Amino acid sequence: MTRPLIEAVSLHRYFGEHCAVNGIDCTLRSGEILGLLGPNGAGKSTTMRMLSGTLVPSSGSIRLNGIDLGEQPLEAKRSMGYLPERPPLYLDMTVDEYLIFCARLRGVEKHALHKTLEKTKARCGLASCGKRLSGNLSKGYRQRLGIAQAIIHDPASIILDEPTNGLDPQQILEFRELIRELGQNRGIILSTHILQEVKAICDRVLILNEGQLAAMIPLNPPPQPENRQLTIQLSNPVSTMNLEKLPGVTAVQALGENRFHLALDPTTQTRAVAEQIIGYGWGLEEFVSGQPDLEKLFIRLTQGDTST
Amino acid sequence: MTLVIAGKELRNLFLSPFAWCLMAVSLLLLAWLFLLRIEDFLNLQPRLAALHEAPGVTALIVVPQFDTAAVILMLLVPLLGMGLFSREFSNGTFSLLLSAPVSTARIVLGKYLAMMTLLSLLLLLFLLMPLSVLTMGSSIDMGTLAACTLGLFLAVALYAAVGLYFSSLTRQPAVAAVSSYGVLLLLWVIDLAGGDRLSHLGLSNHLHRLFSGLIVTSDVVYFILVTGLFLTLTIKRLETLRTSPPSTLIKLSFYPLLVFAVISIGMLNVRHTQVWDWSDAARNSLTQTSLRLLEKLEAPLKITSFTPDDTRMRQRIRVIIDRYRRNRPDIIFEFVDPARQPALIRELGIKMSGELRLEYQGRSELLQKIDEQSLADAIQRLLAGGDRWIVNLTGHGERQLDGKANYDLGQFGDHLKRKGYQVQALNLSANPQLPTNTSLLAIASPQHAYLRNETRILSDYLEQGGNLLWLLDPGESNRLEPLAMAMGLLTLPGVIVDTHSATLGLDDPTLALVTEYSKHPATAQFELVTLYPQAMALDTIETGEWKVTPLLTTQTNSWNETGPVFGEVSRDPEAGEIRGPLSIALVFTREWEDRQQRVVVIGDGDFISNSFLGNGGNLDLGLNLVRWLVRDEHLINIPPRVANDRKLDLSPSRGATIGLIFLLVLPLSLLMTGALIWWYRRRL
Repeated sequence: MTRPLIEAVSLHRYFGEHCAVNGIDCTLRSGEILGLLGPNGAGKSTTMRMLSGTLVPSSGSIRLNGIDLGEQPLEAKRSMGYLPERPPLYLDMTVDEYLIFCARLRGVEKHALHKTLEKTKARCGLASCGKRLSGNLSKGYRQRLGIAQAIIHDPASIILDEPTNGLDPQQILEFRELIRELGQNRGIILSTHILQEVKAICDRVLILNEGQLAAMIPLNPPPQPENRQLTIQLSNPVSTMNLEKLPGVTAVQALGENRFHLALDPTTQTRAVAEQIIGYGWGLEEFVSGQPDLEKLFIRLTQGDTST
Repeated sequence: MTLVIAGKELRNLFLSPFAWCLMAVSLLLLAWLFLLRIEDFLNLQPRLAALHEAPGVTALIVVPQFDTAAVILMLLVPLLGMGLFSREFSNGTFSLLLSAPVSTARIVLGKYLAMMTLLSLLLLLFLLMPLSVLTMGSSIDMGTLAACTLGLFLAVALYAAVGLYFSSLTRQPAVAAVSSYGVLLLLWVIDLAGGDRLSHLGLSNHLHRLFSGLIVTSDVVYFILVTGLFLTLTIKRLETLRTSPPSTLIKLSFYPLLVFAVISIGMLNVRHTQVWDWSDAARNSLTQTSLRLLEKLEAPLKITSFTPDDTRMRQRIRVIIDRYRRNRPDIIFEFVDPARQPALIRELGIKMSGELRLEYQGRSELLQKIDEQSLADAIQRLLAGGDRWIVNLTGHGERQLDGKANYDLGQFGDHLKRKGYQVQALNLSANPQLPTNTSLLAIASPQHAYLRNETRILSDYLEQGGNLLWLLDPGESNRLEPLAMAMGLLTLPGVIVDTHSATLGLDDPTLALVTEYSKHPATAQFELVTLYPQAMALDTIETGEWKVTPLLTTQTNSWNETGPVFGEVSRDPEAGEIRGPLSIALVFTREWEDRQQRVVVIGDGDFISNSFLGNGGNLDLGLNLVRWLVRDEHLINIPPRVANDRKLDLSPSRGATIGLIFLLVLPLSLLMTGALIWWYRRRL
């Protein structure tokens, strides 16, 4: 396994008495697109600000590309690009001026400037508006410019805070294409509160609620037949270890609150698994074949204890 | 990386019409004041030419111009700097800088550098004004100009740091600007409000010393420290933006520590200070003559200035005294507020505010005029005072220098002693010999004739080069005819009557007035009126040996009245009454061995008597005469420092050109540039 691009351990952040982020762990590997999902105020932006080095965590550690952000902030930040919730544009600069400044700021060498600039503009669909003033751009273009500044120095990891905010459907499609392309050899974390977006592009999703990690769900595992996957709800607490010991179960994913996602051996009958669970007396309440439904899960996780 | 940020900021400053407008307006304002100053100078020029040690173009135009610029820039700089951080906060662009691999210090330095570059450009444009004086046929004191430029640059650097700090505290640029004004104004006026201790913290004292052409390390360090303090505070402030609350305690303890460090370093520097005088002819430093004099001081010199608690007044005096203290740190200097110490003022005989009292080894001198010459003279007298002996003859009804009676000279004697003279009474019949170290022999209105033996001793004294102060009063005889004959001294009969005194409301016509003095060194620069009751007119015959100069002369409406002065009196030429001006005092000098022998004869003994000493300038004149007689007057001469830049030659056409350039061309071209850039960029 390669070294993770981003590795955050037990992040906490307090604003006065209020705890905005309470013990979040997260890792991002190269080639992975990680989604941060959560309602407003769940701590998505705070987490991303901490990961991008613009906010120092109250406790916990962050390593970017193996370098500790607290100890060597400048070196650590070199491998990272960040788009805040609001694109950080100087409205009185032209697109070219702005991107050149960002490139220089992030350490792009002078001789490579021109090439980098043209490449980034082409990638983000800004090729035709290099001479335009940022302040005169439409919202969609401003968002593209924001993304452009985050990727101009070709960072290994990219942190995007609600990147599709303000884009029209066509632009959103283009954006997804860009993210997929960028994600092939980089790591990307993006936050959003739009479920479809996460489904469409993310490999993995972290669901945050009230500053805590509510669930971590892999979305794009290697393709498996629908009936080879199960989501179960038990009434008694059971460890994942016990579930893994069940014959025919190849992988177990805890979804929280005694809810689990199981992957099955191709030869195993789903009925046999159900019988076994009942046999152990774990109190099977729900038994759904197929992938976990993200929407239901999200609503359940973020709406408190309505299911119990 | 600092340069990348500086470049971007500079670009933004130059691309905004706001900066151009501000520059144009401030330069216009300064140009207008500059032209007014030139006009004033041209009007004053004829009168300046007549002035002794008159200030020149540099002092009257250039330095005040810098003074004004320091104030105008104080208003301008916070406006330029107010948006540097606050606009980043409100636009959300600051996270871009924070997420970039750039340290906070570099962000701050980059922005500061951009601001200073713009302001330096403004300073260069401003410098064109003082330099344009060169085209008007005048020279400028380049050293002072350089010091002024340095001072203004340091002040602007401080303003920029303060402006930057307040910009980092708020999202609203206007709030940042107003807070900066608050702090800068406080720094400007803090020395007006407080005493000597606070004046240290204020910037105006430091700045004005630089403007005078004096580079003092403590002044330069003051600006660097305050600038550094605000830049450090800015860096710390920005770091708190991303750190977590638990470290607030550390941050809180950081601020007092920082302030303490700055103040203590500032204090330390005051003690070990280095001074360079950049002004032309080292105008702010002492001449070699004064320096040599200071070296002779063997004990601490104590200087007290009797000045009201007025910062500006005291500052002017402090500037002069500091020149001495820089070379002799052991000089003790203090201010006394005359209003608070009335008893002391009376006791010491202080007459006006601003008077200086110099005290050295128990002797003291009072000075009303404070310049290098007067101080040098006073120090010289203090140094020499110890071995000046004044011998006062007694035994023949003479007025006594230690007598208490109305006709005695006791008070005058006290003043002499306070000045360090040794006064000794001597009765020749008891002690028929004059001390060999006699500096001055005083014979004050003897009432009885001297014995032949005594007369011989006195004649010998005069013969052998002794200095003499001889006071005579109207009467039949001067009691010392052989001396008078030797010198060629004659006395006119009668008492001088001065009708002018009646016009002044004095009802005694025998009170002679002297209002104008000869150019003789003993009375040079003397301006007070002196009064001579019952005076006698003097005359001389040529002896070929003595050079005689009339020292005090009466006015034209006077004569020597021989009759009784009663009721209506008028001049009677028949009785040998001569019309004034008549001489009341004569100076006799002759070369004796390698020096000048000095004798002053005055036809009046009353004028320094206890009854009349306080009238007019009698005391001062008496002291001046004694000083001259014992050769304590200008033994040293401080050459006046004439400014080289006193002439301004401005033809109307050239004046119009310069006015046009500074009032119209320069501000307009700045405005146009700003407008063009704005118009062009708006369409992108």
